[in-house]
Amino acid sequence: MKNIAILAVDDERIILDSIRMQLEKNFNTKYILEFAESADEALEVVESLTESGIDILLVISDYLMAGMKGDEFATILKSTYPTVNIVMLTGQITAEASSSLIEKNIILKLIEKPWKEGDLINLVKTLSVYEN
Amino acid sequence: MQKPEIPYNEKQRLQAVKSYQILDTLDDHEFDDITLVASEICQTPISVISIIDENRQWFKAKVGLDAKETSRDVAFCAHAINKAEEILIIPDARLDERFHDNPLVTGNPNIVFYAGVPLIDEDGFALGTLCAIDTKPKTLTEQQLRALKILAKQVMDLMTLKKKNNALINSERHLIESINFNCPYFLLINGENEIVELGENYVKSIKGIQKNSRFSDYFIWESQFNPSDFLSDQQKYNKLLFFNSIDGKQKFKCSVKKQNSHSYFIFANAVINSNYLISNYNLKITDFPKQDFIAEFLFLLQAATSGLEDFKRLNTILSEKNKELEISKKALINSNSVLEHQVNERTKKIKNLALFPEQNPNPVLELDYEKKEISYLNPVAKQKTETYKISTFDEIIKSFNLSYDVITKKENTKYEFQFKDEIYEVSVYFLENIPTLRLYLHNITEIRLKEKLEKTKQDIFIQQQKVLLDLRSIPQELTFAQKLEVIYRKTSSILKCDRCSVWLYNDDNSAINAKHIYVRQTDTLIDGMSLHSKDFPNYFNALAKDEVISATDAETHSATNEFAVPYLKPLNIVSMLDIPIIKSNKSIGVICNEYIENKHEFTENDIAFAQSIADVISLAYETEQLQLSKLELKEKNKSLQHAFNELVNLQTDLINQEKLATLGLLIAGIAHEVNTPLGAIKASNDNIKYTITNDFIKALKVIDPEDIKKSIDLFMLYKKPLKIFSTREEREIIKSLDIELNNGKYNLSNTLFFARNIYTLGHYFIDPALNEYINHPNSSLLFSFASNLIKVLQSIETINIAVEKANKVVKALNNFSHGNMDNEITDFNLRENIESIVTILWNKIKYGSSVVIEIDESITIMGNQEELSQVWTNIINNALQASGNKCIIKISYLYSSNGHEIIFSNNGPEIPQDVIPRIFDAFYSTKKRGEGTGLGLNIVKKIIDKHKGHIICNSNVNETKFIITLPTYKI
Repeated sequence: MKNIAILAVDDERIILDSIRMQLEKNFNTKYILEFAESADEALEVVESLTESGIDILLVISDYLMAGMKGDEFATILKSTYPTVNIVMLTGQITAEASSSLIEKNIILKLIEKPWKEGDLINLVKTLSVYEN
Repeated sequence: MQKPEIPYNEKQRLQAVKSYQILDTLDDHEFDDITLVASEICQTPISVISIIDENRQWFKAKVGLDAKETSRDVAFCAHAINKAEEILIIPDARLDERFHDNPLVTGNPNIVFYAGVPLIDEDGFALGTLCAIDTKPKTLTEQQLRALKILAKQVMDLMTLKKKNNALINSERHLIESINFNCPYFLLINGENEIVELGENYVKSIKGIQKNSRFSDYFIWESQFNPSDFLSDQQKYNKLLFFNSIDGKQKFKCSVKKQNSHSYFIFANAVINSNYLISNYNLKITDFPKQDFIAEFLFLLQAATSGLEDFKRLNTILSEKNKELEISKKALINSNSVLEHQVNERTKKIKNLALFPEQNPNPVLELDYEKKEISYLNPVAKQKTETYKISTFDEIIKSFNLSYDVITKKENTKYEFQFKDEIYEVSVYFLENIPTLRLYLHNITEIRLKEKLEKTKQDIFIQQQKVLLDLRSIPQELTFAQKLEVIYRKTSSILKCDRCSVWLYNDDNSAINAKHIYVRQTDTLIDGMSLHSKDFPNYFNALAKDEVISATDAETHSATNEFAVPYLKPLNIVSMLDIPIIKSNKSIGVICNEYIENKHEFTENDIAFAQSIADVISLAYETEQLQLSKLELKEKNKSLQHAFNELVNLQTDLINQEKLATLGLLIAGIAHEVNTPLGAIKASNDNIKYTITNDFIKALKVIDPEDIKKSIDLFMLYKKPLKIFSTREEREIIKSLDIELNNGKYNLSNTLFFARNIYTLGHYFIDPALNEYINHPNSSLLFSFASNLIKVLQSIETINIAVEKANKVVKALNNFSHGNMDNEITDFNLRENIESIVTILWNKIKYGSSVVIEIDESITIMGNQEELSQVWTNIINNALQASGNKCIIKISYLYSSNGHEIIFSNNGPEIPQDVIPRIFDAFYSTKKRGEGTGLGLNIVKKIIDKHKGHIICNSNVNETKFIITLPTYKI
């Protein structure tokens, strides 16, 4: 336990805090929870986690972010760490863009904002079962 | 004595007098001759041509008078000019209250009789008179008066000719002077090679050269520049020859050749030998001499060209006028000789009749006043006395009203008397040496009748003028038909016609229509009718030529005989007077006066009156048309106003639509901006709920109260963070706390857990106060419980932030709609306003763009906040769209002399210079379909215009700038 991490990325602090609350509430003792405010920072976190030998169960990323956008971040991340699971959390991605990302097997799924806490938690739970 | 009245147009009259330049001129035999003829014709010792100056009368010509002028106050002629149309006749000034005490009557030259014909110039000003004056009472016969009138006209013609001649001489002189002045080196020649005029420098420089000498005596022509070519072919050449001397030897010959309206300068440098013969030419076009010479040359060329044109034109006029003058002079001489002949004939006749009373067609009687008996009766007199049974001396005296006074005084007199139906003029002569008086009886019944007729005519004329005056002041508010009714009544009463009607052409002039026909006898209007040109071609032809149709016998008159069967006979119309009604040189119809049963002779006065009536009708018609078109205009105006109102509405609609379109473009972003805080609020709430229901309740049930107390003590150590740390900083702090916990002081298995919780407590290094809790046996429980408490607090804080954020978006949206408070002008804070727009657009801005607002928080401006918000949104949104959401937008403010300047600059792509002038046009868009309505900047411009401000756009590679200037005063 505690060698698997979940990373959430969103440039909106209150969104990030909301995700944090939901994740901490459900998985505080089960996973290492990491949060980043930009794609760049998230890449650093992933790198440092990997160096520390920590597996990453899931990356939850916003789509529309200042600086690097979600799709670019996901593409880079997936190309470096092909095993990582990515979920896109957004209200503004077009159907074509998201389906393209899914088809290319870059992201696992798209969760539309505003999201239901259950959806997010269930996703993590399903993944954790699958991983185990 | 009455002083003469000053004419109402005296100022202009005096100007007219001056224009003839006749006052104080020398004697002129042409005028002298006229006065001589006048005095001979009128049998008066004195005759003068008097010109009325401001304060005097000045005599241009005179016989029988010494004075050159008199004061105006005593001048008879100054009275005469006040009635320009009439001849002023004073039979006996001694008996006339205007003149009886006039010094010219009481003293030298003792005027008794005066007859003066006003001299009327072309413009109708009475300049003076031609008058005949006698020292005895007198009457002039009709022939004498007519002759005097003709002579007066001759005087006037002569004066006019002299005036024109003067003007010509002056202008010719002026022309020559001006040419001479402008270009001393000029030379004008005519087609006959003759020097017409030449500048003074030529006179000085070329020996012997003078006007009227032959050009070829001094110069030789190049063959292709024959002067007659110049002068005959006006299309090809300007008729100019121009010479200039550079030094004594060289002469320049220049000409302007015109072809296809393009001018060529042909500049020939000719060397003149000592005999002023051109020895050779050096033709040059490009090789001009010094620059300043060219300038001078061109100037002189111009002066001489225009001078020559004027000269030629005036010369033509002059010669024409001279011809006219010659003709007039001849005519004058002819008419003078005719008059002279008439006078001679008459004198001869009178002499003959006096010598041979037997042959006199009028009665001649001789009475012996001593014996008081009839001594001679010529055959006519004999016949008359027999007819009227007058046989004695006394009977004659009585019948002729001869007073014994006349007989005893033995004065030759002339007087008039009526005998039975006849009026006679009697000239009484006392024969010399014998006590006999001879009476010449001249039957003037006819003359008097004519005069009476004339008088009646005049009365009618006056009556007509009165009617015309009345009609001219006909109330304008009457309709055309009402006016016509008044006109019909007046016209028929004056012209005594039985039917009167106005016929107007239809649109193609193929017919004339009368709405009504007025019948005088019943004073009623009956229905009119239409006449077609195909039925009455002659009549329509006559009308088309604007002819007056005065048909005393309408059945035979060439223009009206077509009406005989269908119209005249059934109605018993015998005479017609039809006058075309002309408006702006175009015939619009005809006024028709018809006479039933009795034929009517039309006098000139009748026709003139009817023509004036036609003018009145034309005027009334025009007024009607004007009023109609005024009404039409009013209607048009109304519909235009309506259309305008609709446009205004449309524009308001467009502005609203554009607003909606802008909002539509923003709506997704706005939804996101609202959803984000809402999501955060929901998450926070869930968290609070979860913490309370799961953690706290559970904990309170199962945990040792001592531990809870301890947890709360730990919670009390919470330090509210001074700032929100970024996740990166947060990670660093937690990392350093973790290292500290791993330094061996503590025996913990899960240092990271403690590090996170210590961070949550707001501690960034390990406060010694925490040691107690870290080393507590139930440390995990204590920290979890305290952290949960803090997280509840943090959740509440998050909710606050989220609410504020949502509030900001809603507030920003508010800028776009104040509900019904449209057009409200308020003071508002500029920075707040723009910040709220940035909030709305934040969702677009944050990904790749940035906005820098350099506006002081204290700035307030005045305007419609809603509309101006639309402006800011449009401009920022445009910048974002144009740059693909990647630009830096700087919004700054400047208080300038023009007012508030709000400057939006961005580093996006340059707007092409050819596009800038059109960006404010409606429906102009460079954006892709669906991206813009093409109205954005047009609406922006309209809004700024409405605020009485300006918007300009500058763009270059580095920067695109919109500068909005708004007035500081209340709009």
